[in-house]
Amino acid sequence: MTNCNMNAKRQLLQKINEVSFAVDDILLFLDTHPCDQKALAFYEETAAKRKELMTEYARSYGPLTIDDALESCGDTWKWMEQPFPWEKEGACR
Amino acid sequence: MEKYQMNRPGCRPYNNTCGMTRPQTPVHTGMANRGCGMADLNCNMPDRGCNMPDRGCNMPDRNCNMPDRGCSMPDRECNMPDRGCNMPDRGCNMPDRGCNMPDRGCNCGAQPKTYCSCHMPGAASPNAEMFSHLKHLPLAMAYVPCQEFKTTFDLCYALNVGTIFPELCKPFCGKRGGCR
Repeated sequence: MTNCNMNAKRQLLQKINEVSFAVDDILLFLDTHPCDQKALAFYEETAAKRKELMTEYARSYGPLTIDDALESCGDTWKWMEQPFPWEKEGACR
Repeated sequence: MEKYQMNRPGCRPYNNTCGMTRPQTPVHTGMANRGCGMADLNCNMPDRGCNMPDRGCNMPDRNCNMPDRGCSMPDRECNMPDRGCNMPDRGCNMPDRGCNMPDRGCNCGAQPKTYCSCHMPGAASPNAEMFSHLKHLPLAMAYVPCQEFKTTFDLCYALNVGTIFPELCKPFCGKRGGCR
């Protein structure tokens, strides 16, 4: 994978981290404020954005979670082919 | 911890997001305020049977947060006015009753405790007005103010500072376990 691709992959993963963190924080707020409409709207918007980013990542680089296992290719099991984080091609490097 | 410094390259990006700059939010205890400043817990106040008049149902249930004074409490008529609904806070503003009731040992006259002495650039200094609402709350209870949903940080900034809510952004200003 070229440097340019690695950067794009890293940037997309960074965006996924940011939006996933926002989802985690708003869910904590909603646990104590289950009827707050503004918070619910924020959750809906953030979760949709997260889903979109995860799908985009899965299509370009392979699935991050089992929910997107068939996103990049419907007729082979790509899930098992993904590098583990500690491997050279893994996202953490 | 040695290298922990504010607003320097490589550290957490705090500028005026320190919680100290925010006005304190009002406390919502969830208990109906009866208007006399005392939260009602139960209306079932028994008559003490030892010369103390029933104060009505605007006083907190004595069984759960007021010590039983027993029948050794001196008669009210020895210069303690009947308090009715306007019972003053028992904190630092409590006058000496002058009728054999012991001082509550609350450091009367002492200034309210200041909380954090860290000085963020542009931060408001703590003052007595910040906590004045605390005088109207019953003693010996813990309160958790209720957060309201207002604004959120940009997602990128939020991940760096550890919260999406500006009012929850409270950086630790101390060093080695104490405020310096």
